[in-house]
Parts: sequence; C-alpha cells; structure tokens
Amino acid sequence: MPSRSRVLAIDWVVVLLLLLIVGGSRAAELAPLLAYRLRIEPEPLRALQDFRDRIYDMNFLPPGERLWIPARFEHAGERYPVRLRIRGDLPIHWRGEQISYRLKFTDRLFQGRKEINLIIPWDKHYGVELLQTRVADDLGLAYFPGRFVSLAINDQDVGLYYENEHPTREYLQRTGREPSSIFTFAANWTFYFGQRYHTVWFEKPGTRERPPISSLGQIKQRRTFDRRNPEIARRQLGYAAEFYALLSEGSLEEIAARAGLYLDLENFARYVALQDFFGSKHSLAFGDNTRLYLDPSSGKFEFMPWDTRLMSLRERWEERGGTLAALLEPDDDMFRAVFEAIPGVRAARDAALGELLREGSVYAAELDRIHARLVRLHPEDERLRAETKRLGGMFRKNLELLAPYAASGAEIARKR
Amino acid sequence: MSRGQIRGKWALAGLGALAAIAILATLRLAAREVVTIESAEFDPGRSGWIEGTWREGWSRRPVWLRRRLSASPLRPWVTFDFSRVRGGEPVGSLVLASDAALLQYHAASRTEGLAHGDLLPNRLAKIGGGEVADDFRLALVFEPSLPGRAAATTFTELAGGDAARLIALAEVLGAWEVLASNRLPISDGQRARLPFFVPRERQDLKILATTSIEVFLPVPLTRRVVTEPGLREALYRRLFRVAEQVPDLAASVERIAGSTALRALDLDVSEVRPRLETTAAAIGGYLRSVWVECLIAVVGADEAEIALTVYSVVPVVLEGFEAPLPAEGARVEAALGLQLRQETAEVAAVVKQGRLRFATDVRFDPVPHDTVHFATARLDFVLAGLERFGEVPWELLDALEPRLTNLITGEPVPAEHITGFVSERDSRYGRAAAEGVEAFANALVRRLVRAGPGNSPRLDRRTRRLIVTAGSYRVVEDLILPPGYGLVLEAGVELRIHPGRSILVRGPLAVLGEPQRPVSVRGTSGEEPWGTLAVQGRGVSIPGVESPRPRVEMRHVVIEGGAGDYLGGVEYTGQLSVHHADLTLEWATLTGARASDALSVRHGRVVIRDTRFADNAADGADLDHSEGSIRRSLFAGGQRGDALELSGSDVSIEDSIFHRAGRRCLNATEGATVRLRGSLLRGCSVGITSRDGARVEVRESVFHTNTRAFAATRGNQVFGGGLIQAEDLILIDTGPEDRLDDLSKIEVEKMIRVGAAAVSTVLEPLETTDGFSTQRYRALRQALRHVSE
Repeated sequence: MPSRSRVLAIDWVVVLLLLLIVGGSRAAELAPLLAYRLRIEPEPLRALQDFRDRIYDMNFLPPGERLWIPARFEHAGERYPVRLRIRGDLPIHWRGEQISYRLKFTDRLFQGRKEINLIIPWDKHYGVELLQTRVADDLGLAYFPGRFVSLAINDQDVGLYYENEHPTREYLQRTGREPSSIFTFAANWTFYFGQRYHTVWFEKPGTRERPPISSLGQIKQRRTFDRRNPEIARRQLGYAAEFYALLSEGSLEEIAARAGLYLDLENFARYVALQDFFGSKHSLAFGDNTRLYLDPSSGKFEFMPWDTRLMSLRERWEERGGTLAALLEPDDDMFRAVFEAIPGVRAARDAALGELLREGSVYAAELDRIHARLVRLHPEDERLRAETKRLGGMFRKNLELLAPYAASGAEIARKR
Repeated sequence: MSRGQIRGKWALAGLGALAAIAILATLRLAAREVVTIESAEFDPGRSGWIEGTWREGWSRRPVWLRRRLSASPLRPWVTFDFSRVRGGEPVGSLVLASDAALLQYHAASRTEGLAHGDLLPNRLAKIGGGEVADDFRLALVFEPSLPGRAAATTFTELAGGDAARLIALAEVLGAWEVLASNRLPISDGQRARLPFFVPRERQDLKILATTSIEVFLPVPLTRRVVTEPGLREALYRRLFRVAEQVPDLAASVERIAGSTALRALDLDVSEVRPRLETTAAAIGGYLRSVWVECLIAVVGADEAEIALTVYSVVPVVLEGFEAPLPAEGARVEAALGLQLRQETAEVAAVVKQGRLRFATDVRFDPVPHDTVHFATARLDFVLAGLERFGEVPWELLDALEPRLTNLITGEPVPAEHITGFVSERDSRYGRAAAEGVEAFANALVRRLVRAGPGNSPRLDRRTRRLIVTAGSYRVVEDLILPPGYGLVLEAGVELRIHPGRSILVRGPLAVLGEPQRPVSVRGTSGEEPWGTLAVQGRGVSIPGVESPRPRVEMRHVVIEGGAGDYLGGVEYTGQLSVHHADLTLEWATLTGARASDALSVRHGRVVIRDTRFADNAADGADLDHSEGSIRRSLFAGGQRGDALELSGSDVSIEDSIFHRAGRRCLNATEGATVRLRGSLLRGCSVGITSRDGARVEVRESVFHTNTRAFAATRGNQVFGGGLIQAEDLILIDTGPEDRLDDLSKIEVEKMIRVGAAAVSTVLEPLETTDGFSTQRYRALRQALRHVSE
C-alpha cells in the first residue's frame, strides 16, 4: 500500500504535468506568428506601384503582364534574395490595403521551399484553408503546406498573411513525389474576361490529329515536370487533353470503362468529400483552382486541394429541395459524369465524408483554435474578429446540416 | 434637447422598429418552414382571376423575382448612386448611397458588420446589388431608399405571393434604365483624404441589370414537389395557366405602375405590355419545351442499348419507339423478333400502319437540379434479338425514334426536339474489352501472330490470363492488356516485337522459362528497336477495392534490344519496366537495351538473383522509390550510364559485380538507403556515388580500377548531402581522390589500397593479418574472387 506522502507526490506530478500540457498549449497559442521581412529598393518598389495602378484599369492580372522585381527576404536572421510579384488574377488580391505576393527564392531554398505565396488572409477564409490542409492530410490527399505569418515591407508592418507553398518541382520532391506536370484548367476564365488565358495547342501524341475537344478552353501545364525531358512534358499535356475530352465529351459507358485509367478514383472521391465537408463549390470543377498532379509512374491524375472556400450549405440545401443527396450532387458536368458512370465513386465519397463528419466537432474546435489565436494576436482587427466568428458559426451549421451523413457514411464505410 | 439628440432618438426608435420587424419576419419565416401544404392547395381550380385579382392558394412566395443590379468598379470609389435614367439623364435616385462616404471597401464592410465574401443581405428584396464578377459587393455600402419611403417596405409590399403580379412587376422593373456613378463632387477636405487611386472626377459605372423569375418554392413544398409527381404536375399546370393569362397580366401592369408603392417613381410603362406578352409566351413555351436525346449503342453482337434522356420541367410519357419497316421480307421477320426491355418490362415488336413499333407507357419525371427550371430524367432500354439479322441492322437502328407526349400540354413532343444518334460503331470493342468477351479475346490474340504451327494464345477468362504457350510469335501491334488481366509466357516462348511496338500488362506477369527452354523477348529488326515490356500495377483504381499489387515472376528469360516507350501517360524508361508491382527476377539476362535503363522499377518491391545486365546503352538497372534485395548479379552500364542507379530506394545488395559503367558503378540519390556487401566494383568512373540525402553502407567489398572510389555531394537543395560509410574494403588500382562537399560525409574504416600488380597476392596477407581473418571476411574473399572472373 503506497504511503500517503507518495500518493500526494504522485498527485503533484500529475498536476504539474497537466499544468505543463495546458501551459504549453496556451504558450503555443500565444506565441507570435513567424515574422517575415521584405526589403525592396525604391526603384523596383515604384515599378511595382505603377504596375498595380495599371492592373487596376485592366481589372485583371493577365499572365502576360506579370512584373517580377528583385527583393530581399529576411527571416530568423537569414537573408534570401528573392524575386517578387503581385499574385492573384483577380482584383481582390491587389486593390485593397494589403496585396498578395508570390516570392521565388533565387539563390537558396527557404526551408526547402522554392516559391511561396503570401496571401491576404480573407481570400483564404482565414483559418479555413489551414484547416483544409489538416483535413487533406487526414484523408491522405496531397496538400500545399500553409501557416499564418506577419509581414513587414521596408520595416512597415503590412499585417497578417496566409503563407502557402506554391506548386513547384521542389515541393513535389520534398513530399516524395516524382517531378511531373500539375495541370490547371481555365475555360471559365476565358469566357468571363473575353481574353486568352494560358492557351495551349496540342496534338494527339504521334499524330497530327487534334483531339475532339470542342469544350476545352485552356489547360495550364505548370512547369513542375522534369525539364530534362521536354518531350515527355509535351506528351503529358496531350494526355491531360485526352482525359479532359473523355470526361467532357465521352458517353457514360466510355467514362465508366476508361476514367479509372486516368484518374485515381479513390483520391477523386476523397477530394470531393473534402470539398463537401467545407461546403465548397469553389474548386469542384475543372477550373482555375484545380491542381491535378499526374503521377508519372502510373499515369493517374490526383487532385491536390487548393483554395477551399467555406460556404453556407443552408441556402443551397433549401434550393435543392432540402435533401442531402441533392445538396451533395456535384454541379460540374464532368464531376457528375464520373459519379454517374462509376457508382463506387459516390460510395467512396460518402464513406470519406462520413469519416470526416464523425470527427466534425474536433475539426470545428481546431478551426476555433486557429481563429482564437489570430484574434488574440491581432485584437485590433475588427474585421478578423467578425469574420472568424462568422466562419466558425457557418462551419458548425454546415456540420449540423450534414450530420445525418455521419451515420450513413459509417454504414457505407463498413460495407466497403 | 438638441437637434442631434432628437435625431439620435429617432434613429434609436427606427432601429428598434427595424429590429422588431426583423424578429417578426424571422418568426414568420420559421413558421412558414413548418407549414404543411395540402395537396388540395395545388388544385388549379383554386387559382384564377377573380374580380380582377389573381387568387393564389398555395404560398405567399411561390415565385421568386430577382432584379439584379450589379456594378463592377475597377477600384475603390467614394460612394455610389444608382439613378433612374430617361433619355440619358438621371431623373432621380433609385438607391442612394449611404453616409459611409470616403470609406474604402473594407472599412465600409466593417460598418455593415460584414466581411468580404458575404452574400448581400438583400434587404431590398427585389432590388439590390447582385453578385459581381470580382466579389466586390458594392451594395454593402448602400442604404437603399426611395425618395420619401423606406425601400424595403415598398418592395416587400409589392413582392407578395402573387405570381401574376410578380410577372408583371418583372417587366415594370425591366423598364428601368439605370445608371450608377460615383458620388461627386465632395468637399476639398474629403478629397484631400482620398487615396491616390480613387477617381476624383465623376465617372459612370457599367451596370449589369437583369430581371428574372425563378420558381423558388419554400423548402417543404419543394421537397414534396420533388418526391410527389402529382403535386409537381399540378404546379406546372397552374404555372402554365398563369402564362396563358397574358391579357389579364398586361392589364395588371397598369395597376402595378399606378400602385401606391410605385407611383412616386413616375414609371413609363408604355413599353411594358409588348414585352410582357413575350415573357408570358416564353413561360408557356418553356413548359412546352421538351428536349430528348436518344443514344443507341450496340454492345456485343446481339443487343443494343438505348439511353433516353429527357430535358424538361414537365413530366413526359414515352409511348414507344418506331421505325420504318426493313425492306426485305426476311428482315421484316427478323425485326419482328426484336424485344425491348426496360428493367422487368419486356415489349415485343409489332407492325402497325406500315411501321415497326414497340408500345410502352413509361413515364419520365425529370428531377430538378437547382430549381425546377432545369430538370432531366434518363431511362435505359435494351433492344434484344439483333442476332436474328446476322449482322447489326444499322439502318433500322438509325431510323428508330421515340414517341413522347408532354403530360402538361397533352401535346406530342415535336420531332425536331428529339436528337438522337447511333454511337460510334467501334464502341463494341470498348465495351467488349471491359467485359472480357470473345471479341476482346480475338482482338488481343490478333496482335500476337504465331510464326509457326501450334496452339494460338488463349485467354483464360476464369483466371483472366492471356496464356502464350511454347513457340515463336510476332507482336505486330501494341499488346495492351486491360486492367486486371495477366500475361503468362510459358517455357520456350520466343516473342519478336516489331519496331516501336510494346507490351503493357496491367496485371500479373509470369515468364516461366526453364534452363533448357528459356523465354526470349527480342525485336524483329536488328536495327530498329522495339519499345518496352512493361507491367503497370496501378492499371485502374476501383474505389473501395484494395487491388493486390501484381506479381511479376520472371526466370530464365533473355530480354534484348528494347528502347522504352510512352504508353497511357507513363514513360517506361526500361526495356523491361515494372511499376507498382512486386518483381522477382531470376537467371535472367537483360542486354542490348537502347533504352535509358535495361530494367526500370518504380515503386516496386524487387528480388533480383543470378541476373546479368550487360552491353546496354545507358543504365544497367534503375530502381526508383523501391525496396528489395539483390544477390549474385552482374550489372554493367553503358558509356552514358550507371551500372545500378537507386533513387529514393531501400535496397540490400550482396555478392554482386558492378563493372564497366561510363559513369558510376553504383549511384544512390534522393534519400536512397543502400547496404552493399561482398561485391566488386570495377572499371567505373566512380565506384559509389551518394548524393542528395542518400546513405550507402558498404562493407567487405573490392574496388578495382575505378577512377575514384567515392563521391558524396548534394546537387539538389531539396535534399541533404550524401553519406558513405565504408568498412573493410580493398581498393585495387583505384584513384585516391574522393569527391566531397561540405554537406556530405565519407567515413571509412579498415581500407587497404594496393596496386594492380598485387592482386594475386592480396588474399594471402588478408588471411594472416588481424583485421582480415578468415570467417568474418568470407564476403570479401568472395568479392576478391570476382576480380579474377
């Protein structure tokens, strides 16, 4: 029988441990954000300001108009030469007080990163994008690591930013993937702005024949492939075009027979589940937010979540007749075609969504924690406070609406 | 009490009133959500024009009218005015800007308690800023009002549940010409505080104004409409009748324009009436519009699948299919044997009025997607009995048409609204390939041409294997097996592959050579190389099904002269390429490769034993992101390559020889982990290279006539430096200069350097010194014996 003093000592140890744990997590929440500094010489800074003025008038940042300027990036006593540009095709990124930037490390990598984005945080719905990376990780999807940072330009504080890694060859290698093409689609942008955007011509490999892709706008092939072999990169582009043609113009029978050759269907189902979990329709289409990685060893495309938006499901639910099935039916014709042609995809989506919903309260708490930390660090930012509160509430309401799926998803997962 | 205080009190009172209204509205909305709507309320007889008023019985909000005014400013402006315009001149403010002058977008957002990305609260239910292209929601800075009246009240009043009035009001609103401009001039003080990019002169904004009527029903009602076809039908019928009431609707325009709410706007409605007729006709037409797509695909040789898709908001009945009778008597007889199946129902063909007919009574209830505007339904049928024709009766299928009736109007769906096509005739192959039927087997076997007498390759459908028995074959086209199908090459098989052609197996591969009857895979031309013999383990992904990694077992096989290929989005760099599969390679010879690698393995597990890689153009073997073991094998690289390259792999190697590579005997990169023991590395530019985070442990091995023994470097910043840990080595005639950078490390223990002349005498001193005694160095002595081989 342990003595009373020993019991007390054990109690104290437990208490101290608890204090350490609680105190540690508390300290982590109060820890300041990473501080980044940019130094830009007057001349390039002026050029950048002039450039911003010019794109105001265009109301769009076309790919051919990008202006890179030299700058110096500083963090934790280290200095890195970078090239910098305004990022974001749409004005939200550069018409306000804060501007989104892309940084390219020219001399040496920054924490293994070749390029990073510093994005105005409300464009990423504050903590939502960060939470999305954690959900993606849980689902086994590739994602672009993110975090919140404080930025100063020429010693002037310019506020809170969301940093995420840009798709680069280095990113692929660092995460254990082989260098290969990442594709983005941009048909809707052309339609909207009436101007050419990432236009690409391609032929079927080995022929002079163009694939029958009447509805294809453009495919953007990111230069993440192995540049030592440009012929393979060209063929990968043709392959992406074939895939697009199959989903956009193929019959359901053809899609049923062939989509699985191009697409990692389990990855696709999980990707859709992630989007549904956030109520996001922003990236549920082959559009400018698609990041489609081609695994060069298998010929399979994998979706990498990017720009997930938290959207209220309530209104949509009402419009769709108040049924969950209708609510979660993909809008995009090509996505829907895969769902219709291959019933297993829907079941896989439901199972993955069910898994997420069972952990819904944990994710909601995580979002709250991210937001609480930001608010604590920036108490003066009324907008941050209001917006994070709204987003947190919306996330919980979405979860309530989707709750019935937690059980049915579990049943589906069990059957699978 | 000062004027300011009085104003404040009024403002407080106003706010209180607004809050009360909001609470009441919320309660009312909530109450509406749970209202049960009886089917009797859909009775069209209860709707109609009674004493000049359209009486509705089914909802206060049956039809949603949207009037969107969207402006897309290029940059922050001061504030905005929406104005009505007549003859190009503003005639009065429609929506006045708020007092949030000089506030930029974000600041203005804060005053509203909203942030970017929100949908508008749409207080002015029927007029408000809509969603603009770039998410710049101007209406956030507006406090909409009408001269002398609260706008919200005005339009709520107008937008009651009166469908007819809404239709009319849509036209009235559409008659407005609207202008938005920045609210200048402003005071000099305000101007001085403006950021430089805010326009200082008066400018007009482009306005996008649209009016639309959408059938947005309350949720409970919509749910029932979706699930209960009878209710939906009643709803459509009634809408249809609304649209038929054009004269009455037109008359109501005048009433609306003269209403209390709109009188102040001084509307000119003279243009409204003709437009209203167009609108009403469009609504009526909409309910008449039924578009049908009919796809017919022949599958196998005896059946056609018919997929009928109806695009419509109204239910439709399929009365049957018909086609002209085939011309000849025998074909008519054959046609009469056709059967149309739909799930459990089955209909036989009959002849009526000189046409072949299938009579059905199948109802299509299109399911709405977003609103009831967009609805589709699809049903599949099978036409069986085609084999009676002896061949596919394309002319009959081409002429087969569905007959459909619109259940609301009772009218037949006009032929021009039915599009149909018979699918590509070669689709038979696609379907057959997926299902592994005979046509598929024949198609595969055709690609393998037997050169001499004997059995043809056969497809075992039970095991899903294409089995090739002993004999000589030519592969005249790419032989690509469908996912899940395996290939078996039995002992004594000689495959001769035409230049540029390849074999791709998306399942298991068994090459069952025997010492006296090996299997050989070569080209047909000595000059032009063939492509690749490739195994792809991730042939097709099936959600929820964990497919086993295919096994590749190869023994007693000679593979020669391949150049690699690009197939299905994948570059196969080896003449033998194995991706995402488990490879066992024994007693094999891979030689004369013109590819980047004689053997390429990616994401595989490998066991290689007693195998020889020789006389290849570039790398002997290249293992990427793989794991496994290698024993008693010989790797030779070409002038442009390495004997063995390991990238990101974890491999143990024992008792093997690496020699005569123009570059490296063993090249480990990108985090590879390699354990090498008892081996000989001879005649290479570099014995072992460890780069970019690779770690190589080499023990009890011999380096012979290499320019240098080791190189450890970092070439890619993503990774760290290389590490080589060496122990118990003998270096014979190998240069002393290792290559090393600051990030890398080479650790060597117990190494002897001797000249070539001393080779024959190396063994003896080793066995007599303390460091190199007998038992422990069996592997080293084995490596030394290789020197003399």
